[in-house]
Amino acid sequence: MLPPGEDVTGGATGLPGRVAQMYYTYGLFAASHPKLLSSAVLTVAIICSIPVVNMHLPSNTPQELRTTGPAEEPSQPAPVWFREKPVVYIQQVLVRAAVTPWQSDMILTDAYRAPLSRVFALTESIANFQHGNGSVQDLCFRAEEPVFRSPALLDTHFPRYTCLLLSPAVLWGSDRAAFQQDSNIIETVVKQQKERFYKTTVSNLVFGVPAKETAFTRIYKRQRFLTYAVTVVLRKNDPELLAGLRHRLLELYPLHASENGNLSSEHVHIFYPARTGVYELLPVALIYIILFIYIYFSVRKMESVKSKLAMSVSALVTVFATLMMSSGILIHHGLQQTLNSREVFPYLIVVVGFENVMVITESVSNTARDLNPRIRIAQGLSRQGWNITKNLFLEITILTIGILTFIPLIQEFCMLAVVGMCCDFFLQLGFFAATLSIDTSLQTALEDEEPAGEPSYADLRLRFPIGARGVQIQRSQSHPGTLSEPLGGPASVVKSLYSMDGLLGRLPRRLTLFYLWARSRFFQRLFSVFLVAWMGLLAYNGGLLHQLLAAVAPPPPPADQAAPAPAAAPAAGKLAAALLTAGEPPPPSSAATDDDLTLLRHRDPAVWHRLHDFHWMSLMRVYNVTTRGGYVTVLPPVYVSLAVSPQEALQARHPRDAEVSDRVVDRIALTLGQLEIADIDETGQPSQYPSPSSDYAYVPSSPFEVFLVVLLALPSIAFIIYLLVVLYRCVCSRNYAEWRSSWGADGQGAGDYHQQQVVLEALPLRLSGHSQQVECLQTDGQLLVSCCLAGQVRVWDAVTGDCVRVINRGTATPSPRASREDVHSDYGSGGSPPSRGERHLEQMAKRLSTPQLAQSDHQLTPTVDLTFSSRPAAPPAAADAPYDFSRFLAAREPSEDPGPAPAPRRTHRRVWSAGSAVAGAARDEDRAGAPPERGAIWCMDCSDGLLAVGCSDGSVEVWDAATGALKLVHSEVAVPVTHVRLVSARLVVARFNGTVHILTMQAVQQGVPIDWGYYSCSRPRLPTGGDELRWEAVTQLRWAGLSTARAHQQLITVLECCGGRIVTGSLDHMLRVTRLEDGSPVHTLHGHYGTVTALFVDRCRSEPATAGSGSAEGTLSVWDLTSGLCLYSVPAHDGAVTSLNCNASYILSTGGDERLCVWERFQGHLISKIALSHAYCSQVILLTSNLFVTSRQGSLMVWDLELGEPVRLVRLGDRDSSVFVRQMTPVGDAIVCDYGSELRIVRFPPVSAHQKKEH
Amino acid sequence: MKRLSAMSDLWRGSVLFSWGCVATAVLRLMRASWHAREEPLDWAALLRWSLLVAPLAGVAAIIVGLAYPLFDRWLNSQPASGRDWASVTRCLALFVGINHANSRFHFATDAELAWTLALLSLALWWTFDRTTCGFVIASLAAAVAHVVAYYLVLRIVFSGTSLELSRLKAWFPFVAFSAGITIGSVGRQLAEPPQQREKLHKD
Repeated sequence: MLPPGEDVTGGATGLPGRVAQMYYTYGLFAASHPKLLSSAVLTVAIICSIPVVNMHLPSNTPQELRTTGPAEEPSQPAPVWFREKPVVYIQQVLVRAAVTPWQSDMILTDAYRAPLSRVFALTESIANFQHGNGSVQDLCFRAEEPVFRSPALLDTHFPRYTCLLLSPAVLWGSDRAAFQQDSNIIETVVKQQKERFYKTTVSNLVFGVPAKETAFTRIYKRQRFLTYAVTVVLRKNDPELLAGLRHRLLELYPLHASENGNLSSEHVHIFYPARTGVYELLPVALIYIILFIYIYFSVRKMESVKSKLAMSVSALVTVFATLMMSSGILIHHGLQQTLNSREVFPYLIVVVGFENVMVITESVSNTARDLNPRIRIAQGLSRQGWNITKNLFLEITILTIGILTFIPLIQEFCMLAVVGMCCDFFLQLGFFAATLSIDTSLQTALEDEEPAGEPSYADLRLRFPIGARGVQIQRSQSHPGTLSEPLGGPASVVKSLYSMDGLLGRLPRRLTLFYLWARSRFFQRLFSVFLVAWMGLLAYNGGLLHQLLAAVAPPPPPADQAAPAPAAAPAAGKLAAALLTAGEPPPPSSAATDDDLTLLRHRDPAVWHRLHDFHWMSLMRVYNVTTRGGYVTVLPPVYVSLAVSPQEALQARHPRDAEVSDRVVDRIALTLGQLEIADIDETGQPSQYPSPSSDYAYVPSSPFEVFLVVLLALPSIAFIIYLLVVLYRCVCSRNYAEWRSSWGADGQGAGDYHQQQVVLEALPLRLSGHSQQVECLQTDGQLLVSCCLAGQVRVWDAVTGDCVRVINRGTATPSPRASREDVHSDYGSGGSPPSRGERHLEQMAKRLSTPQLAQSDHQLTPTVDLTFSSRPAAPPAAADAPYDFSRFLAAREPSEDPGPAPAPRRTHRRVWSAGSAVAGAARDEDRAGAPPERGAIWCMDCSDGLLAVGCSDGSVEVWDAATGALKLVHSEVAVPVTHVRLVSARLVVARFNGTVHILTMQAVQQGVPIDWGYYSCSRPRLPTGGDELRWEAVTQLRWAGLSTARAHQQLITVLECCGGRIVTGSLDHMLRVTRLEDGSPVHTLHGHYGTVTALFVDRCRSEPATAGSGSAEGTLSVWDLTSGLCLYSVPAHDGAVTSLNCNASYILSTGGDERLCVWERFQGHLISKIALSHAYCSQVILLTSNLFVTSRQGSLMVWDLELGEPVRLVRLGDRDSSVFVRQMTPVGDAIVCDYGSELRIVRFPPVSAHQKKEH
Repeated sequence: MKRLSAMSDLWRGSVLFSWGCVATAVLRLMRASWHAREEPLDWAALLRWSLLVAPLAGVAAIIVGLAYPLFDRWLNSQPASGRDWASVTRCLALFVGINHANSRFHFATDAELAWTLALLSLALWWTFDRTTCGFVIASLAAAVAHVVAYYLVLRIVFSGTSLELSRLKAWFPFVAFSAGITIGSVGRQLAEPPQQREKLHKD
């Protein structure tokens, strides 16, 4: 077994691989301490959810209605609640005050004390205001005793039995003297900011504006602009009186009176719903019903675990803990919940979803069951890790974009969702994975207890491909997406046969159009354009653009300021600092009064609106007045701007203010711990005003919020960068073709049922009869010719598997080669096989050395004999096959007849006349003909029922495979034959010395030459008694021509014939293209630096357009045969390239490094790498356009080319791994391979139905 | 579920019809009850509306729900999400969410509303369907539904305010589009051959 996890993560490189590796490590950890981890994570979740207790779950958010006047009809149809009178009216007088001009010698408290002291006068003038016969005292709400004691100030300082009028003065009991004697007003105010009451703080109640606006949250020694409000609660609305008050106040405070008078005339009615009606519950109920259906269907899918109930509960706990945790975190950090959480939660659950939980479960349960549970968890996590991470980042990116819209509700939902995603991720990995590992180990424990019965076949099949048997999959980096797709069990492997290149020719027009459309990615582009446009629109409408522009372009300095500015700025550094804080007004020390006065304008008319939703409710609650079920009308506030002169500020100064200002900052920071303490910097100015149009939007201001935003932005940016990198990789020319070719598979749906096929279990057909190891295997589509080491040639019917003929060529001298091969086979079956590279060279060496040995070594005969006799008897042939005695002959013969010396044979120059020797057919075994001895068979080819055999003594024999008649012999050249090819009437013979002979055959019928095509088609294919004898009598073959091409200087290692060209590769590092007709050279292809070891010629087209060759140094070169140019050359393998194969779109190569590489054919890009272990045969056969077959020990393996995954294992024999498959040949829809001394035909029926063969 | 899967086209059609009717009525009721605080629920008007519009929507649901699997087979397309009821329910929930957002979120302008809804509905398509034919069918359905809604139903049923009419233009096509996607996924799921589902379960 491999080291755990190596099947997926070991070889994967790049980011996905590393992420998968991390998940693997984590999975091991989680599975080691599941209980500890899950309880720890759950504890963290519970701690994080504690603040949820404070959430007002059952309450409803207040509703607002805005009208321009008190009694006017609103623009929308009036809600039901508006028909009643409001509970109270709220009248605010908003004051914006500052010391101006600010003088540099002022101290910290000067900025606060004088502007704040004005509130006493203002409060008095409001409380005592009278107009006509009415007065504020008559109109106002008479406060009784505050019922709450908890913030002490409520009890002691809040108004009782008088007008309910709140202002900052309340902090000092509305006593000006107390204010003046207070040595530290800042501390007094800041303390109250922490005193919470119901939904708000005491400070908010008395100031009437959010704390941020009061200028008390950040303490700087410089000019401050304070905003506070005097809040009057009224019983009745008397517009006349209030108009009078407004008029009076504007008279009293004339600064900006004209603007302040027209700021707002909107009445805001805030309704606090009392209870929920049935109608309102209805939508919520529906959402919850859908939610429960969703949960039901999701949980139902969880079937492959031991305890379904426990795991379902665990999944539910994960999701709900996520919900609680995220809300808790948000509430803890004070992000307000204006959304009705009841309505939002179901959507949140749906968005977060059970998908990841399900995916993890599925992935873990798909791992091999016999593995250690720890490893199973780790493998399951690492398979899905990259996908989970990718999705998380994608979702965070989308939600961050949502936050950037600055629409408050969307922002809030997105915040909630983002935090929810992160919590979900945390809980999934921490809690769910841990509980899953507990479940898995339980499962394993239970399985161990069960009596180990006979493992069923289905079990074996289920176990097979999942990485446990040394199947290593390595993916190309540019196809990371498919890395972690769970591999289904082989019993139900469904693979699409669809391939873009293979099928386009036959596609219906509608599909062509459709694919074209899909390929142009119209909708994807549209979608992204849409997204960008939407963001742009929202950003524009949200004022973001305006804000940005304002920030980029600093406001033009006023003309009168231009002169004094340089004088006032003592150093150039200060100016630079001012410039650095672009967008801020110039230093206040030098600011003109005009500028300060402008800043005193009320920029945000509805500043009170940023108070908590339940602010007014809290206010009334102090006096035990409930506003539930009723509404509060907030009348248009009166705006007052106050400019306090520096003299007044100096007068108001408390004697101890100077010492206070030195230490107040530190002390407040110490006691409260939350204030943001800025360095005293006179040039800077905080951004006091949020942009006018984003009054509700969430703009990060506090450090936590900024931190949160950064936290969100980081993954988004990372994701976008990754996306860009991936896009670049796809679009850049090197990978474009590969990417494009993947569209077809992605877009059209791999699981479609029409072009789908199920690779069924294939049962091998057993062809036995040879006595020794089968060495050569050839087929012409109908007949199958095999030759064993004993020199016996057998002809089989490829369909039925019957033995048609046994061709006894006469006893070739058992060469040492035979014994060596035999020894080798024993070695191979016993121990570990030599690596393929070694073997290849060994074969080569064998071929080289054989002739010399064959000439001299007869001493080896006993060895041969011994080997034969020690070999177990071949199993009896099938009943219908004729019995074969040849193995006895083969075993006996060397001792009886030492055989002729090879030397005289070499001098023979004979041309065997056609039909002069008829080999012993299968029916007459008794060697009646006694054919002369011939050299050992080195190569064979079979075509159109003719069998060509090349021998070690240089002779070439042509047999009729069906009748077993020797038709022709050519033995004029004594150089051993390394390759023969039958191409219609021509026989291409490659010799040991590098020459290529092209022999032309002619069919003669009673002395008259006949057309070869006629000959080949009218020849009896299967013997039917005396038919063939008559045929033999009338038709003969004779040699008609011989052309010689001196193709290479050295041994020809590979030879292919196609479309009138012969392509040869040799030990001399070269490839030659020769014309078939006359043997004239066409091209010489240089480029390899080693022996050419593999070759393919594109047979897909009639014209041989391209050829590919692999060499011993591992390069793969693809050539254009028409021009003789090298299209590309890539380093393919670490060892020699051992085989090459191609179809319309891919090239498959295997090499000495035990890897199979799939290349994109036209550009030479690597698509995937598959590690083949224990594959002794380097041959690869393409079954269909995306299935290929390799051989292993005792079995064949079917792979999916596009996924690079094994699809099926076909066992050839009972024994598991005793025999290596060395030869494979496709015959129609089947694959023929050798299996020791037997042959196997493996048929793949569903494949044949589609006839997708490339060759 | 097995019983459902074995149903004939007729049975499938009737299921789709009832899906369409019920969904329309319920969504209308939801919209009304979301606004119930502002105006009391008028059950009679709701019933009248449902009687008129729900059958129309049911017929539309039959057409769309049968067209999806048909075109899938014809064009060999496959939705992005897994084929199971959980994802269909998820789709349905998000569709309700789109309706929710439509009626509860206050947008400054109609354009913003329209763009947001368009994006949401596209996202729905992207998450659950991702096939070209799904997009085309849903768009066609949305266009037809919009025309029908605008010129027939509104004129007859509503003596509706002009505000409502102008708002309709902003949101209706996108909601109809998402409805098309949703009913399409339901139709696909109904047309699912039983053995595939069993196989899924086996896995």
